[in-house]
Amino acid sequence: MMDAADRHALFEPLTRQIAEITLHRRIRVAWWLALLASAALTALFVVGIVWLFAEGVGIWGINIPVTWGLDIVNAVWWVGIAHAGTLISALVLLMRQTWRNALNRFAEAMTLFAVTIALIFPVIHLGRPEVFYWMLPIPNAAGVWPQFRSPLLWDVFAYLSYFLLSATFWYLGLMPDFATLRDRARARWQAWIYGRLALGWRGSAVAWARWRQTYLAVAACAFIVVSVHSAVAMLFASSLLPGWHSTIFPPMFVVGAVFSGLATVVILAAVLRWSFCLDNVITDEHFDILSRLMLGAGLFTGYTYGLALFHAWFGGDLHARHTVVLRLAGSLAWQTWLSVALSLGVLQALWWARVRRSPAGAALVGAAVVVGMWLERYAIITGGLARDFLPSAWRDYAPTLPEWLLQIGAFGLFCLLFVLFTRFVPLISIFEVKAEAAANGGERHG
Amino acid sequence: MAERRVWALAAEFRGADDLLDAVRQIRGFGFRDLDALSPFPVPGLPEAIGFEDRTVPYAAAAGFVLGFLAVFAGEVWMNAIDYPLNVAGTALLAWPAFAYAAFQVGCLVAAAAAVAAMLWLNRRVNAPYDEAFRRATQDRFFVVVPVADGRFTPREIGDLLYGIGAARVIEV
Repeated sequence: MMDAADRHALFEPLTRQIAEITLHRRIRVAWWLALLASAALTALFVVGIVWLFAEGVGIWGINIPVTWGLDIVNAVWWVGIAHAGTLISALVLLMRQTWRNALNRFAEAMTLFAVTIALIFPVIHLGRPEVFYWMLPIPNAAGVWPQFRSPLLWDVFAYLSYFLLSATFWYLGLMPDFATLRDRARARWQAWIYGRLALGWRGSAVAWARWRQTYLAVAACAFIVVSVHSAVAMLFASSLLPGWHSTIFPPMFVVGAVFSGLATVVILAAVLRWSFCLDNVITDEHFDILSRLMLGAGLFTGYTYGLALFHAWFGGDLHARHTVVLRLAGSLAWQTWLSVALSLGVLQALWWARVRRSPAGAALVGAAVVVGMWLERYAIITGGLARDFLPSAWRDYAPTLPEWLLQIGAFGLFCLLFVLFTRFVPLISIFEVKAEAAANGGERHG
Repeated sequence: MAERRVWALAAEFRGADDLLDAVRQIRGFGFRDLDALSPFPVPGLPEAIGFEDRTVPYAAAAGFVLGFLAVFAGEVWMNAIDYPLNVAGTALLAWPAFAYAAFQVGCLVAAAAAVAAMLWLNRRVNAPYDEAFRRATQDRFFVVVPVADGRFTPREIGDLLYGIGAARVIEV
């Protein structure tokens, strides 16, 4: 335990360390390379969208019966990744855990960018994306209203509300940090921009008190996250397809989402810590906690897989049972087993503390989990449609080049947004790291 | 040239605990309308400074209820009254299905109400301040004592602030 004077001496170095990254640090060649590479990948995304708008969804591999391909896989997978950011920033905040303070800023950025991408995919898969606003209840001459009994519409509201809520929460946390940047900026334009963004923040006790109330209130609203992926899962569960029609789907999707999202947070934490020398802020302890959470979420996901099998058997429906057999031993079984091996298999490495506490080790496991969970979404969505009730109607699905362009391009867009974020916004919450240093006596920040 | 009118004295401290002690002591001397500046939210400071306003949580709660009810009523009107569409004989007024969008928009309106209430109520304290407080967003803590009530001279208040351990006292 450090004494008070040592703790106070930490405030300025911590502030300087994080604020300098945004304000004055010389832009390194590596950052430009990262920007270029992600911009190049984003260009593929643009090509994919222009191609799609020019030709229509016929250029994709989707058809009857597999009408949902990589478009919906991505819409589900990206919004799922977002969920871990909300979990770390809002739900863990409500549990008064301070370890989140070093992670929440970039985890929330991840959430915001992932939801942005998740919002694009359902719109471009519409076939007639130019009339996407028909999904919203706008008074129209035809006198027709959207159908609120359909889970498809729940998703419209879930995605939009989630996006706006995440953006609000992120900005709320950024206000005090923008003020810190404003007061440190040496360039006038920086002081001007960050000053506008800080909305006059100066750290008054009354302002903090109300800010804290607001922060907690918005964090409580973030419980919406549970309903977001449940609504996504209801798209599947409320259909009658064998393999989809199950009450386990909403919880299975939510824990699976948190699982893949935590894996992404671990990867980002490792990359940021290495790129910006943040060893004293993002500590081995943080990787340990994140890895434990990832392990827990993974085991829970495995449990829901088991329950899904049990439901199929216990439900007694012939088609549901047959789907299980096909999934485990049929022609699409490779999807199931590859997914399980990558997500749940590799995950077992986290039982060892050395792997959990090593950024490289935890990030490698995270990468396997992210790919594995993507495959799981792929298997559920395309596999579920490919093996319908009628064997004569079975037809396999293979993504085409335009779909892969969008797949790779979406990844590029995420990276592009994140690379820009690291330069223009404090990537660690400056004031919350100081609050943690003050409260914990700075053992972790010494 | 006339001397600049002093409207408050600010004492600078190095730590959150020192700030909290100082605020408690100064209020113990009978001073009201104190302000304190800190680089992060100090636990216990709202109580110490006498902050009791609960508008923000109530605004959030009201926002949730209003948002939920507005969307729910809209759904009932759209799907059960204005454009009733029979889908396989399912209920027109399907409240469990309607609850989804209502809940989500309710959460959104609650958050928006909380933020709007905070920004509106803080419009006076979120304002440009003296250059001297630049480090309040970095690593220093300040207590601002207004001299307006005239019971003490600025010099007396200054001595008092140094007496309770202020690192520096500045006139504002």
